[in-house]
Amino acid sequence: MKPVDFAYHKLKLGLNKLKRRPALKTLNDLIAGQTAKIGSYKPTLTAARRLMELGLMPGVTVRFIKSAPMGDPIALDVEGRQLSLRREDAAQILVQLV
Amino acid sequence: MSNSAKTDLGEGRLRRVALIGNPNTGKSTLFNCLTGMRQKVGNYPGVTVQKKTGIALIGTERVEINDLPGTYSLAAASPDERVVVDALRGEVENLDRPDLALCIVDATNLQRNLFLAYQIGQLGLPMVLALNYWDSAKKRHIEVDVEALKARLGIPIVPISASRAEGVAELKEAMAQALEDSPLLLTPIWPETVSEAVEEAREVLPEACDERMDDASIMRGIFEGDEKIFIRGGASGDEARDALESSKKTLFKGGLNPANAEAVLLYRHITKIVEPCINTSQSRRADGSESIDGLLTHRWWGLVAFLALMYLVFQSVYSWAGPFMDVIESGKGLVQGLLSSWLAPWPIIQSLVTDGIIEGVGAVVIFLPQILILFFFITLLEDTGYMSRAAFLMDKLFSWCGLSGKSFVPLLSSYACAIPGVMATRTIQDPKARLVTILVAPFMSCSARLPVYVLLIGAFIEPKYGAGIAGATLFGMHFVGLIVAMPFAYLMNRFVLKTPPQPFLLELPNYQIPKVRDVFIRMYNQGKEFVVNAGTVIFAITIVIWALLYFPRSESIGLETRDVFLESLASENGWSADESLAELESDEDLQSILEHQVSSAYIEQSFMGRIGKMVQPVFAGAGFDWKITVGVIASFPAREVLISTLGIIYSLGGDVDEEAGDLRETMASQTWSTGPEAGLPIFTIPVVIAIMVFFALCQQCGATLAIIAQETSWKWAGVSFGFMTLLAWLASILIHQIGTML
Repeated sequence: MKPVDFAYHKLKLGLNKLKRRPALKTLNDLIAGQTAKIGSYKPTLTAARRLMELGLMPGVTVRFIKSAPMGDPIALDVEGRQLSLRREDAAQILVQLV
Repeated sequence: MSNSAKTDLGEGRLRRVALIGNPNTGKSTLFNCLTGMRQKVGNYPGVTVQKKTGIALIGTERVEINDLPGTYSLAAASPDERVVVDALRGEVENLDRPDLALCIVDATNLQRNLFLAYQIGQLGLPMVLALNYWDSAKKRHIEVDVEALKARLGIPIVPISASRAEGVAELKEAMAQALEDSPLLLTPIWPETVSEAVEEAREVLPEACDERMDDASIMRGIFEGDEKIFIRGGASGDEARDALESSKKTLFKGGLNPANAEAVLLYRHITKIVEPCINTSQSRRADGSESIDGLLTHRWWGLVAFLALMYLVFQSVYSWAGPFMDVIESGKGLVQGLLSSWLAPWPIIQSLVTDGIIEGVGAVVIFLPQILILFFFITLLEDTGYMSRAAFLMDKLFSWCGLSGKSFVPLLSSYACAIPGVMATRTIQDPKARLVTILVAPFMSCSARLPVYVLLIGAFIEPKYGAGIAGATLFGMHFVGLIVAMPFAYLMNRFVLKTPPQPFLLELPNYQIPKVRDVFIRMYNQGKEFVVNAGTVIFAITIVIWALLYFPRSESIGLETRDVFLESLASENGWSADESLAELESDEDLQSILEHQVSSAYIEQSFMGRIGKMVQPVFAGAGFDWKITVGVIASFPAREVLISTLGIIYSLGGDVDEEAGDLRETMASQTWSTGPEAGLPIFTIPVVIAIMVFFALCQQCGATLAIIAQETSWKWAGVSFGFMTLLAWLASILIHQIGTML
């Protein structure tokens, strides 16, 4: 009974992943005006702690306001506050479009 | 009751309140509101974090308020945050643990602000919470149920609007009460896993450590992953590491990521506490700020507005400071003239007072107009919220070499003068970016280099190549430093400063109207700090240089020069010795020529002259003779001294300026007296360019060194001095060698 269950789960998980792939974006991929929910941080993100202290933590909804005139950094609306971070850090943060 | 509390503390020791909060919560405004002008500004021992204390009347008691740097959390990442943690724990030298924490939070952004409040609460400090921006919270229809929040947090909470001084009286009352009954923030109930991790750590830690550290500080160590906290508690390095390892494992087993466990748990708790107390009827969007940003951070208009604003600011710094500096200069001249005739009977004292002391005081005061005006604008830019936007706009230009957008304003102001420029780096929080910016700032072509360029270009480039090339040269000289500085910053960042970079995270605060009082208090404090700290060093350097130029001074040199002068006068005109003596005594022009020759002879004999001759071989490769070398060395305390020093050396007197025709002519007629080039002019085009590049790159400013030492340490001032001087020396030799080859 158990092995079957396991395989089934694995299959389902894989399918889900496939299905979800197009929606799996980073904060860096958003365009002006888009709203997204923070999913998780990639482990390579060094600023995780700082980001959390500033309220940019998993589960929070953010809106991409704009990028700076030279393309970097970007400005976000995090619960009514404007935060700015560089694209290299933004690319480490997985989001789901809302 | 309050009396007995006071006597318990003994006389002279006021009770202390630490004012703490996130950046952009109006902390400085509240501090100024509570203390008025009764403020003292200094530095924390060993670090360059500004320490601001003031006295406030709370109830009937005088209380010391300590304004700590704004921070988002107690997880110490920068020196500013380290200071906050140490000060709250009472671990700063000469600064006892505060009796009360006054935590200021932004009522429109409670959740994030309470994060810091909870961290402070865990240190076991009694606390009062000030809910600032109450007015704008109301405007944005954010309703906070203060009574409910009070009950849930367990501490006094006072809504205030610091910029209008509303609610401050109530806040003072609450503080007076809290100083009596020490209310503590109700600490969150941590999940089982956390207390297990603390137990785990306690088992590994030695007994001494176990006794000295309470659960809260052990928890801090675990959450921050910082062994040093345990080591300070009395554990050895290995014990601390083991304790950290095992507690981390426990957290992991409990399903928590040790790196962000605190943030996750605390936010979860705060949301649970706060949500029922807040009622937001409208969507929580940034207020008018975003529409203003539509223009000010616009792709094109944003840059146009930025450039226009910067032009306006620096044009004002430049042109407003000018008249004040002129007044200081002429005031200095007036005092020098007065004292000089009064002290004439005692030549050494006369020279010490006029050329040493007054010159030294003048060298300090002369910087004040620029510093005050620059900080007037910087405070405006910061308090309105525009400074963050400027950093946002400019970041890309600087990020590649380890600087950030915040470096722009300090570097731009260094084009006027590196002193205010270096002081302006205080707006950069990342210590590494700040240090690199400080080291790069003196490369920017400051206004003191201008006279040197004008003199040399006017004397040699313009007559030979015309005004067009002369103007282009002057323009080009302003970029020499910048071109060298950027790669220098990159290399410093890449190879020398190995500390991990801090992420560039910038809050773009809502736009606000700044308070006039905040602006002037900041100007006053900055000016005072400059005069007290850097000022003393600048003064001392000026005196030392005066002594090197003055001593040794024997009467015989003056008499000898006089004899030689009389002889040449006699032989030139065919006079007898008596005739030329009579002529000299009656002709004032001849007297002043002699006077200039005597000062020239004195300077040649002085320690400085001897050093110049001794050092000259070092600059031979750059084509400098001993006179230029003396000029270069005498310019180390302040580069604009070159012109007056050259004036004295070439026997024209010290009061020449860069436009003076006779100085230009004398320089052009200088020839080598000995060596392979005897008879050829000294100031060839390669030599002239070598001198200018030397002045462009060299750290010839005692005041800048003093301010770098004040803002960092003497070590970095030394690095700056050594590196820039070496670079200038190499570059001048290189240019002269290549120039003569062509």
